[in-house]
Amino acid sequence: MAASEPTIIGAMNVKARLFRAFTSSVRPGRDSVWTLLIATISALVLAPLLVIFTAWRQPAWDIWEHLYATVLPDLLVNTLMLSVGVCLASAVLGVSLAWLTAMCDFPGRRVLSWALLLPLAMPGYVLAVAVLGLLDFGGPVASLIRGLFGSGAWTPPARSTPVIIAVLTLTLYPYVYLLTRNAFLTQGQRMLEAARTLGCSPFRAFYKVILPMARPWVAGGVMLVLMETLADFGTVSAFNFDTFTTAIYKAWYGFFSLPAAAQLSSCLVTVVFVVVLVEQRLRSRRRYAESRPVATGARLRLEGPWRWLALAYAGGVLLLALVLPVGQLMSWAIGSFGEEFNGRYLSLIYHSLRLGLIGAVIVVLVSLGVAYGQRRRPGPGHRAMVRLANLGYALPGPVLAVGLFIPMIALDRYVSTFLQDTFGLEPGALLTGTGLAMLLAYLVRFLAVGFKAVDGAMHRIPPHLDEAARLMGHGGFSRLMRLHLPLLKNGLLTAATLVFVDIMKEMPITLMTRPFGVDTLAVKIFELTSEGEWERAALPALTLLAAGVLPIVLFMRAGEGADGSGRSSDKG
Amino acid sequence: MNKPVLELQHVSQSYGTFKVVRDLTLSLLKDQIGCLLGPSGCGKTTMLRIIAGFEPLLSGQVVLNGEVVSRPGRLLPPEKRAIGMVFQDYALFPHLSVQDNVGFGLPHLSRAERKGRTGEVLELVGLSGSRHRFPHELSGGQQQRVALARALAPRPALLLMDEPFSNLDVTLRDRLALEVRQIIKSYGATALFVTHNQQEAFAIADRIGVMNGGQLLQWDSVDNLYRKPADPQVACFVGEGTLVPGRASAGGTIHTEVGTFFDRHDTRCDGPVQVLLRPENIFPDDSSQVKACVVHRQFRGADMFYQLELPSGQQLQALFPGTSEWAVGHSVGISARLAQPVCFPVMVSPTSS
Repeated sequence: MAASEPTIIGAMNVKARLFRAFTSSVRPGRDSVWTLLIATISALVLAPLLVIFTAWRQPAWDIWEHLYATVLPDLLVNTLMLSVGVCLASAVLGVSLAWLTAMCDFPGRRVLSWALLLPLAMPGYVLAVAVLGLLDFGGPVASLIRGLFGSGAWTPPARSTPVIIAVLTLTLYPYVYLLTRNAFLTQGQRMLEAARTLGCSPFRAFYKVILPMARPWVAGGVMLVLMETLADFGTVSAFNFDTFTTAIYKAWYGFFSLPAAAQLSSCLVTVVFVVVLVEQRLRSRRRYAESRPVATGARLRLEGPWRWLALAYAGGVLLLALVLPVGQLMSWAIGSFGEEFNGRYLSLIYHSLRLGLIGAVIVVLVSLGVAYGQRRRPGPGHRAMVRLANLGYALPGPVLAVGLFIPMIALDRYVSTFLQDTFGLEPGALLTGTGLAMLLAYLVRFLAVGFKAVDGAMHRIPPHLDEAARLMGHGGFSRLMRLHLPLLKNGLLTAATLVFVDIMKEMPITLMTRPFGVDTLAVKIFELTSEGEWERAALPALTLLAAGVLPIVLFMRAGEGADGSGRSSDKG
Repeated sequence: MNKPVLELQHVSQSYGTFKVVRDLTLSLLKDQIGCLLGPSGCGKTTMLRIIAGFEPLLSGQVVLNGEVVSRPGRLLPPEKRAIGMVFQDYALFPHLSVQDNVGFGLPHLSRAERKGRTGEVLELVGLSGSRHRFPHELSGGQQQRVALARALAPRPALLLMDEPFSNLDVTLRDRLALEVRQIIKSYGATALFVTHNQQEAFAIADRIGVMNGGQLLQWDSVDNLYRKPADPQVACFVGEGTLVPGRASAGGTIHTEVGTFFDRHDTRCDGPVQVLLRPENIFPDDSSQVKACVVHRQFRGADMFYQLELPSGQQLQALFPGTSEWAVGHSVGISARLAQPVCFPVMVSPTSS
């Protein structure tokens, strides 16, 4: 009952919206340039999907047979175990930490409540480097155990499923933590108080009210975790753990079969889209549940040993997710700094920075265009296309790489045959060598990141400002330059920073579609980990980690601002 | 029979060095509806949270049906107090239907009993038809009634309401305030609510406590608050009126610019005093020696509200019949009639005299 009513309403809305979209989507006129832009971007998301699904027209049965005989069963079991394990562990970790930091009071709560977000900065493969090194046969953990219990003692195996689950969980739990904490902060304390006046103890209130109430947030966070887990390439490949993403990579680079890679991609995408659908439904459920912002009540004061247990638990998570691995990476980086800090390292940084910058500029410009177009022509057709364009974030990197590279090859072939036939020229690889596929893949994958920031900033400009400017005689372009851009400056910078860092950390797209000789920090880490050279990977890993802290700082500064204003209004 | 349900005895609480509640004492009898009235930040919500058990207190004690539930060092948890509460934002559980929200506080009842009680309370608030709906599908007024039903369902010893109407439309407020009073009365509940709105307080409460700066200035019936305010602050805060300076002499005569009054009961005033003149105490009187100038006037339907200025510069408010037509700047002869004058001695501090 609870679930079905909103669903029916939702379904009716969707139908009505689709109907309107078809009847009134594209109005001709000068503004159709915006329609063209928005349509092109959404086509960019559709194209790779079409490519990978049409690859089934030439099923690569021979390779599938080989896959079936060798990796396919493992791969399915691995993906399933990983998904279930990471989701469960992230939910437990995220919800418990959110409960402690949002609803309770214990020593260190203030610092921990933001520090627990920091693992968001850690790409899974960076933590993997540290953990693999720590748990290596000759590594510090194994040496310690052997030192304590003798050389025959059991040591935790580095390349085992629980370890991989732990590594992914420690980098992904912040999604659950962040969303759930928000739910607790905005509604939890009032709900807790209401439940207590109705006779519930705090513990009973937690599982009878707080947890069920926060379910859409928890589940939303878990779905994000699941999406990231399914899309993960760097972590699992560091552990040599076969999942769909690594299989796609191997099908392409191992068997040189793009069709097989595309077909594997289509399987993965199908699963991902189910997850996306669930996530979007949860999002609309959250909108229903969102109430007015409320004054928060008093936190639950933990007593006696509970205070220290809470501190030990939250601190322990932070220790494992951040302090220990960063410490390990630092000690390696310092040890190998003399050898590793050289021209090659600088060229890695140069490539990473350059790609990040170019990608960020492209994504932000396109986001701005799309957001502005939608503002000027807010039809339901545009809205539907923009939503489609924003789905690109759900496509795993290897899928995008395959889906965009295949048409490039086809185009290259077509052009070179044409040139050969008419002019007798041998142009070779035209598009595939330029990195165009790579930039397009970045655009599709990270448009949602940039668009959300730009669109959010755009929405904070009240429409009346546009109308006032129009009455004062400013046309569209003039308004963009003199009104919107100055007001959007911060939003654009935020968007650019987020996209920049995401591209720097990105591994599979860069790895699979980069032009020859373009090595980035992420690619280097992939190469070094596949050779087991953890210590040498420490310097590039730390560099990426430092870059990853940037958006967290931005995010927390924004949060602090909101927090501060809240506090001052409390006083008033 | 009529024993106090709630007794607050010398309750104080402070945040750091800021005293939110100072030495507050009151008692609320069974079946009464009490109200703490005061401007925002006067400590009334804190007092409510202390009674509910969400906040500790610094000194004093809270007694509920004869049992001490709060005193320094002892705090009975909220869930053990048998107190119902309607929150300012209602705090309805978004994941539960109306029926489940209302039945939430009845886990000890069997399914059938719970259904019976829930239906009964929903009937009382007039929402029987909405039992399967969810909070977000209800209007603000409906949500408020669900919150009331939920708080009443477990038959609490005391019902607390925190600014229950502040989230509603102005037009809806008056109607709901009356409705809520009827619901509480027909359920036979004892209730205490806080508000900053006098009209709400007058509409619902049997007893009103006026609070300011953490202090309870007067805890009394509505009538007494208006006619016998115990404190100049209460006199100014409740209703309209002006404090006019005067001089009292032994025997109970009080001389003011507007006239001379006789205080039959109280002879404690001797020396400079302030006399409370409500707008309805001032009458137009052509034969009067006292003349006042019309500063401003405002149409109020049956009456016309005048802001007057006496020759000394003293301002005065008056309510004349709606047919009166003195223009701004006009001089009017007035007289004041007081059955029982309310006067407060003016403290003369030794340094200023």
